[in-house]
Amino acid sequence: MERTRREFLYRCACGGAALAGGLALPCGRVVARGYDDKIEVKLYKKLADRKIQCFVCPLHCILKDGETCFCRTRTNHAGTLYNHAYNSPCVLNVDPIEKTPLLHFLPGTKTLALGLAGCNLRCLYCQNWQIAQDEPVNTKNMKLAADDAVAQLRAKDLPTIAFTYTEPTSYFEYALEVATAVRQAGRRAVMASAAYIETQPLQELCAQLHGMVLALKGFDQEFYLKVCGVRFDPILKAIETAKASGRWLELTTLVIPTYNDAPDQIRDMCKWIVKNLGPDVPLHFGRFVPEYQMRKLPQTPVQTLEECRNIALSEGVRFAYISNVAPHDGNHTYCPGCKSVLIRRIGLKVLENNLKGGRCPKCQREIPGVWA
Amino acid sequence: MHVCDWKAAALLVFAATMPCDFGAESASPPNPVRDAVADLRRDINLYNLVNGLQLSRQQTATILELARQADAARSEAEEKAQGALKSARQAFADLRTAVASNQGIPKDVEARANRFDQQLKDLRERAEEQTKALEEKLLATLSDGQKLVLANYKHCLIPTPDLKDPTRVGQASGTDRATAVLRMLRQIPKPVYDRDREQIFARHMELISKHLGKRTPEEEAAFKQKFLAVIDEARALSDVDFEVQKERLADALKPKDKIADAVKAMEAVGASLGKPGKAAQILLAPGAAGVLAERLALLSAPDGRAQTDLNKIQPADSCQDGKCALDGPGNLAPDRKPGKKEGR
Repeated sequence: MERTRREFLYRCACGGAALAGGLALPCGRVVARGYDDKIEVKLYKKLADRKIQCFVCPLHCILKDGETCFCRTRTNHAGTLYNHAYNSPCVLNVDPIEKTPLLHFLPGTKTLALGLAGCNLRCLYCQNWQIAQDEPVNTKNMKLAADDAVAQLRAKDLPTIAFTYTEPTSYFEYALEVATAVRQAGRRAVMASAAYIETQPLQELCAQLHGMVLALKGFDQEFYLKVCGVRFDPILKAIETAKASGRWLELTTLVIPTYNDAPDQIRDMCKWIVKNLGPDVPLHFGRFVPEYQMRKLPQTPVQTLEECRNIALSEGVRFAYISNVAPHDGNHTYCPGCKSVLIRRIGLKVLENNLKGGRCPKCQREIPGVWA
Repeated sequence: MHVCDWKAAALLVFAATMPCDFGAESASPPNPVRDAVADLRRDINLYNLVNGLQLSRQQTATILELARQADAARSEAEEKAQGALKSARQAFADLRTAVASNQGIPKDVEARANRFDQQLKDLRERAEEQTKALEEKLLATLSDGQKLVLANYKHCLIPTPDLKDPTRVGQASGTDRATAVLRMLRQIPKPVYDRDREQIFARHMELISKHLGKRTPEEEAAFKQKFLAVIDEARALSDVDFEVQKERLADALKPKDKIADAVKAMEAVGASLGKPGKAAQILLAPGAAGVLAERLALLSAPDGRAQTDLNKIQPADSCQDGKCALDGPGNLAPDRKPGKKEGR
């Protein structure tokens, strides 16, 4: 094939540039597609030979120099552990707070929802796998420091910021910094988490948050190990810790056909919730939609979700919801006393809010939640 | 691609307000294939609505019963109309002869034609009243949320994203097309954008005319100004500002849906005349009972909820290489590699 002199020179220049670039960058380094920043991790221990051990989540990863934690965000740089998921959300939206999903927390308001790449779980059905199952260097990030986040809340007059979409544990340092700044600015921070986090960082985070929704993805060790890639016990411990913090807490369970929808398991889960957290913690049963590595399963039948909700109500859970199915009567908030509809919703949208000062207008019963 | 056949929808609204159009004859010859396609289209449209409404088993059973009653009422009305149709045929034939000769219409011919026409109208109105009564019962079974879905439902072959894949809790990506368009336009290099700005608008206008109705030149000029201003603003914003404001910008890109407005206006006219509404047109239409019976059977079938054997699950690839937490921290080897080497 013949080439012109111009083509030859152009290709030589490209090759030279690529070679020079390759030499200048550390081997295997991927250049971030957007903003890249890092912060030293708070909770880790330095070991011999420049190894470190991370204590943010129950995995307690031990890393040699140059290695990255299971969460894909924390890397050992010559014996110092840095988190690259810092000041760099890859997704930012103004969402209804119901999408978090918090249903007893300022219903009908909007929240500045953000997520950074990475997650310390490996759920086979992850709906945000493109960002949650990737590293911050591979996602297109934006620069949003804590001050910027507060400025955006003020500019848009938003009452809350939500750490959602991915796992806040993987960017704990950033979440803590932002939540602190938001609290100081008189606004509120909430998070959605899988609750696979150590007690100390969770307590630190809870001290700055105003509310959270934690995922109780199943109710046995085997399900968690095989489907989510983590152990089950730390989840329950974290949920109890979150409840003990006094912050507003809601729970969510994605009901996956044949995996975690056995009525007995749902019943055990509800019994545990009522016994250990109390009957007032709202519980959401979400419809599974085939995603990621579980594409061959069908959607959760609505009847299954209804059955789960009925089990929860019969076991004493006062506020049981059905999500990802709309319209459905399970979207609404009912008074546990007189059964009247307090908040009528269609999916993520609030159609009417009948609460008066956090109470049922009919029977005056106080409804738990953050209403103002 | 969403195939929302608006013209068909508008025609359907008119056609369906006349449950039994006695005396009307099809303009085209019978064509079984065309009829089969039309039946499939009708069934799909009905399924799309039924799926969107998330009907419970009880609701499906109730609506099925109403659809069967509507079928029975239609058959009965059809039967009753047979005699009137025969008489009307003779009267209309006489009227045709008189009109064709253009020599004036004899009084008795005119009176007979009028009488039988009125008879057919009365029969049709009685059938409509019956359908309307059934529709009221149908609406009473629906929740407020379902009524809202019904009101916003657009006849379609492929369901719209809000019906097919509604936004889920915790979902990072949105399904709004206007936002996606804006995001794409932000990526275009400035020289290319400056060069193709007019073309972009022309293409957008073409799509608007096709799907939302044609604009007058004045409307188009006003929309052009707004459209280009929104795009210029979207392009000028920082990434963070764009993400925070994209919803507002996307809303500004969406012009008035003239076709939907026209359909709603026709529905309102129909309602003011006491004609059956959208619920009857779709859920009580001929053939609806078959679809609803099929759906009821599906809802009544045991869902076979056997527990999955978790030992048969192949963990995620990413989980295998990192060994996840399957071995637990207590079993971690001192030099275990939880993550892949990044070489930062």
